[in-house]
Amino acid sequence: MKRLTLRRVLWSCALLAAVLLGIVLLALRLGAVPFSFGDLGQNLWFLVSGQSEKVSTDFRVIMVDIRLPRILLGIVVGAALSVAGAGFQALLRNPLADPYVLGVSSGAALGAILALLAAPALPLMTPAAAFLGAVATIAAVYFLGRRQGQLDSSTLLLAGIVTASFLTAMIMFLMTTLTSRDLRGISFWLMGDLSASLPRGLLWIMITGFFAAAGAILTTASDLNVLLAGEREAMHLGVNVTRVKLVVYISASVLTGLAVSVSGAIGYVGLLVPHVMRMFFGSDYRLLIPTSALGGAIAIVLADTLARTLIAPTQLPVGAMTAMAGAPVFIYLLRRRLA
Amino acid sequence: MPAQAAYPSPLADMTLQRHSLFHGAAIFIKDTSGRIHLALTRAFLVRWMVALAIGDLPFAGLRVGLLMIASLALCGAAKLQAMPRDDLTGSASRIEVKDETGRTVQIPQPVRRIVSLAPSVTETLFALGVGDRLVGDTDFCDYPPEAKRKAHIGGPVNPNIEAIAALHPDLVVATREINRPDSVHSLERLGIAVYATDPQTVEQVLTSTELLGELLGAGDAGRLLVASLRQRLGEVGRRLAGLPAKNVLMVVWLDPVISVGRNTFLDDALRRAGARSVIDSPQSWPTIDLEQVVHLQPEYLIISNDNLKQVQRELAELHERPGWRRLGAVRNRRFIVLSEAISHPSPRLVDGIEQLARALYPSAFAADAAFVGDHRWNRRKFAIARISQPCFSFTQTGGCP
Repeated sequence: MKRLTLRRVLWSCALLAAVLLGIVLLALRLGAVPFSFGDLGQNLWFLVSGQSEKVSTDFRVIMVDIRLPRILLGIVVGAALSVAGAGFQALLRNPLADPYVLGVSSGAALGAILALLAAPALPLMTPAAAFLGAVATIAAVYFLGRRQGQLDSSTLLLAGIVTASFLTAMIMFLMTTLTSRDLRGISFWLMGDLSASLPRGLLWIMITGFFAAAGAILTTASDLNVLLAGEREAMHLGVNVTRVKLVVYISASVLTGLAVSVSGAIGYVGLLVPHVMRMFFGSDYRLLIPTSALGGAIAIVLADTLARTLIAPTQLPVGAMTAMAGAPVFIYLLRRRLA
Repeated sequence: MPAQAAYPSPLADMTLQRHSLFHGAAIFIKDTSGRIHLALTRAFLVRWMVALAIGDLPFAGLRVGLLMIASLALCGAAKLQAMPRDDLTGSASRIEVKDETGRTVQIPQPVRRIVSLAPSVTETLFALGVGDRLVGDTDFCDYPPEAKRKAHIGGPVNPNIEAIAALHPDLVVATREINRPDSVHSLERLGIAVYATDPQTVEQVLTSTELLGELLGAGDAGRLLVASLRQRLGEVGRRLAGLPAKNVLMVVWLDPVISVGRNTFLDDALRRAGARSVIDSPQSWPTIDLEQVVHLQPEYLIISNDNLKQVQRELAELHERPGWRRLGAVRNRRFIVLSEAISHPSPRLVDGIEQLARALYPSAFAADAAFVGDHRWNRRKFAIARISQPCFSFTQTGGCP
């Protein structure tokens, strides 16, 4: 195996960042309202060079207020989900683990539904309640998933899956019995949807939260590499397994909670992107975490651009898009690698 | 297992010292011996920072890079936030009204460009004679035919905010029945005025129409329209007076069976047409168990669908299905197929009520020239008139009492 050097990390990240930049430009260009690349470049230059009074009103409303925040949100959500997925796959030592396997998304959805029932008219209630629901689920699964006072991978996995199915059942029960008409759109939310425009302050919180939690996981990257060999082995090699697991569990769950509370449960990205990145860049977590973050951002921005433009002006839920495009791509990569 | 795994580096000892230095509320950690001790969130942070500074050197570079990106992103976000907002409409005068969901809305005056977020709203706007001011509607707005030629902004549940903003509307009209609060919040955040209607009875459909007319400067047209609708409803009521209501099952959806609950405009419309829904549910659109349908034995099945081929195929299929075959209404082919007029809370609802009343009580409306004349309202309003789809009634007995 090739030794991981700083040069390799930086080149890999630079490559992915360049791809991401290209896709972001494409995503800015495409949409229900078309802009030419010339327009785009000119107006962006006005914005960057501080001549914001020259920017056309249409451009400002559609690009700056709608499209750009949506793309930024997609980047943060995609990066958060992929890093969380990579973290859970290491923590549970299970290649099938994804950010939702421990029920965080179901808890968030339940929170969102309760908020819609209680106060449909308050704009920020839904993401706030969804995040609270996610945090409550994280805590519940933590206390259920311990064995002899320690987080135990298999107990945690079982506790998470049971909690997830219980919460999903609760959601179904509420949705079929309650009379509130404001729940109509919740199915969109459950499939994952980036269309709700959020106040910029929230985006700010998301970005800060992402860097804090992803950074925390990154500090455990070398420990996670050792942990993949087995918990006992890691412990004998001097890794504080209890602490590493706790840091990864909390950080990955918080990342998932952040993503879910603003976008609903966007499937597949958190499961597939880390695997795809392993295929391309190897499974060293010190490289896997930054590349997963960039790869997840690319995947979601791409999927959301497709969701926005395929049958514009009608939008598909981005979750449907990630599953539809993600599964074949993944199968192709997997078969190619096996061949 | 050892009680506490040893840390590999002096770095860890520093972290442990920090534990005792700061005492604040944080995360509970139980160590392997089962004792709970407080680990500070700050301790995590300190470990992170220290690792950042003296951890394996190549990756310190990566982390510093990450931090720089983070701060750049934060600056970018702050800069975006500081940017001034434009007034999308540019109109000077605004009036403040409360909409039907209790929200306070600032509506620019006069309202020149309107976007509708629901088929029923589109129908109402055309009926009020302000269809020319409608600049955008949903993919599902198909009545009157002009509605199909307007710019489409996506579906009612997932409207494309970008497309709406590009139309520069003075006012977006939504309805609580099918639009999402999220869409309304997104539009509000862009400074676009959103007025939401919320009619739950036939009477509220009328008052809502009149209010909307007032708001859009079409108050006279609205009052005239509503007066004529009231007169037509009164006529239906007069003809049905004294006749016993018939038990019906409104089939909103067939697989699974979805019907109407008691607090809906549709239930009220059925009542006004001399029908009584056998379903009495507090939910608006309850899913019904077939057992219950068989038990309740409705006299008629009512279906509202403009796609007659599909309806005929579905109805033919019902005869083959176990359970449904046991239904008197199916055995005797007592199906009433109505146009989609009755399923939208718009002025066209009155057409639907008339259709249903005539199908249920043909004798009360027999040979009635004056009654048909009332449809002229439709012709006058819409240049290319499509009188509500003819009502198809597959009743064998005629259903006269």
